[in-house]
Amino acid sequence: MEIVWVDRRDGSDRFYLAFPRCLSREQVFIRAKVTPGSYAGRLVERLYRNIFEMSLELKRDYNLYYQLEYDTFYRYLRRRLLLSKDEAAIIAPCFEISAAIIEYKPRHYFLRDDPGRALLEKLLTDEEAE
Amino acid sequence: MKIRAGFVSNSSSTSFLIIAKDDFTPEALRRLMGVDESSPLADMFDELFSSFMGAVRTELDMSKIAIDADIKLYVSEQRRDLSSHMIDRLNAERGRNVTAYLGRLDSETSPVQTFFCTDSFEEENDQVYINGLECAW
Repeated sequence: MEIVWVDRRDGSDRFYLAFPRCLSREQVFIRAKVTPGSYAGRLVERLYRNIFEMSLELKRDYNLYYQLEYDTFYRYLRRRLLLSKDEAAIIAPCFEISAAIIEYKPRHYFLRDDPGRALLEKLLTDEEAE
Repeated sequence: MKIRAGFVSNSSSTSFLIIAKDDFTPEALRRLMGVDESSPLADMFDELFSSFMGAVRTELDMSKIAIDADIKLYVSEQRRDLSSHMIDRLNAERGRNVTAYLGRLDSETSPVQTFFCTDSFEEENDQVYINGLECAW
């Protein structure tokens, strides 16, 4: 899984998460090692829903709506999402090898900075698919 | 209409009440919150534990408080931070062999503490009760 953290310092901070294959809710819960129904269980449930159900999936968005307008995924990332060259250069190669590329705008403050990125990696890396 | 030019602070705090039968430990907090020791989230809850303990302003040995005592006399410094729900809970614990911790988390410290300042929660098991409902975000 590739994670790109875009920190704009203007309220539009976001992660770009490229998954070799989509994770189920059960897989995330197993990785999280939390008790279903507990505070932590509800927190992971919210996190899962925010990432996999409520966030924009870029491959689908590009294929359905933007590939006529932008001839490459890289140009879509640069012009539609206004990513920098460096950011787009990391994400664009994931297009062919990823099942999903998700733009996740974190609502949980603890996901900021390096510890947040490390937590996401531990929760969401699918070792069998890597 | 007033127009403010410049930076606007949006800091926040959350008052909390913890009641523990035995020692309040990181393990007790993880158990209450449903986090396994090897969970990727364990570090976050250990940091929350440290935040709680660093923010305790009042610690009460409830076994030394008579069951008909006015609990407000024991929490006078924090009276304004406590909801009637918290006061009711403290009253119910008078004379029991438990320890109550009262304090306030601050959103201007770490991302973890900031998150818990923005979340409202009330959790209880047979060892620990935590009230973090008084979120002023």
